[in-house]
Amino acid sequence: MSCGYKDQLSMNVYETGFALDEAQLYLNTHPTDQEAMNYYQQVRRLNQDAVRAYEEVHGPLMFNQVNSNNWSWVKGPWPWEGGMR
Amino acid sequence: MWRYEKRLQYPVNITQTNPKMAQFIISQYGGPDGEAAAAMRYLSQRYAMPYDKCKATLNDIGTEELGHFEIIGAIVHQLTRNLTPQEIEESGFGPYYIDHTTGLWPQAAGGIPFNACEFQSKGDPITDLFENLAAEQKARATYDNILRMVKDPEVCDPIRFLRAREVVHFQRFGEALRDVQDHLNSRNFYAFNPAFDKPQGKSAQ
Repeated sequence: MSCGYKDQLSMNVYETGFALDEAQLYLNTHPTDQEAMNYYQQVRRLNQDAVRAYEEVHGPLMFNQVNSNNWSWVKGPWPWEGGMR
Repeated sequence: MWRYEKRLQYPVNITQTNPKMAQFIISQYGGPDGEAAAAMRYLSQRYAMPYDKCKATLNDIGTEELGHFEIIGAIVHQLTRNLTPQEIEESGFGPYYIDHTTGLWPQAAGGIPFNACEFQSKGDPITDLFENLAAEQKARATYDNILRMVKDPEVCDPIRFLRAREVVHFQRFGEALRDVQDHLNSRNFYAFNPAFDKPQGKSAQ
């Protein structure tokens, strides 16, 4: 659908992150829907794996994932510049 | 509180500048039915909402709208990179450029500044949720208007994503409204404001 993904690693973060966004909003108004809870648990694991793989190559998505001696958080490009596409 | 995740909710990668389209699309940055108004509306309405599912809905859709505000900012920024004075003059982007160069500033397409009067936070759950249902439809209609003007697929793609989110949020707010109504009993099927009046006793909360 999109023309904008930088690579497979970033596409995996976007897709699983979006699945989480959708599950969150749906579960807010259907908190006892067991099928939706199972979906949430599944995409949560996929998103964790996707984020970990992405951060190893492209650097931290959250500042507190900086775990080396240099402050890689400031390294661009930033998202609005077409950084993670 | 919020902490930044260093990505957009949906990717924006625009390679062809177009200041005329930027001036249309900036309306969803700071215009009457834009993303800034959406985020401020829902995040402000949270405090008076008495019911948990609806608090979560306002909180999390309001948070997503902040992410949409950022997506619109990225689109406008990328459409106005490396402009020449000639391009600015010929595209009609001049009046904006004179006041803001190519910085982002929340305004409507017609130049009217962002204003909290674009939204309501009434302290009344049913009133606020009807406001939100209308707001999602107005934003969807604005995206439809933008999509009739924009030809570049790199711009259409994230705009279509944002349009689809308006439809989903409309659905979720409809469910939230149903939840509020389920909390109202036959003695108050909306005779009173459930966030302020307490005529029904504890069982009605």
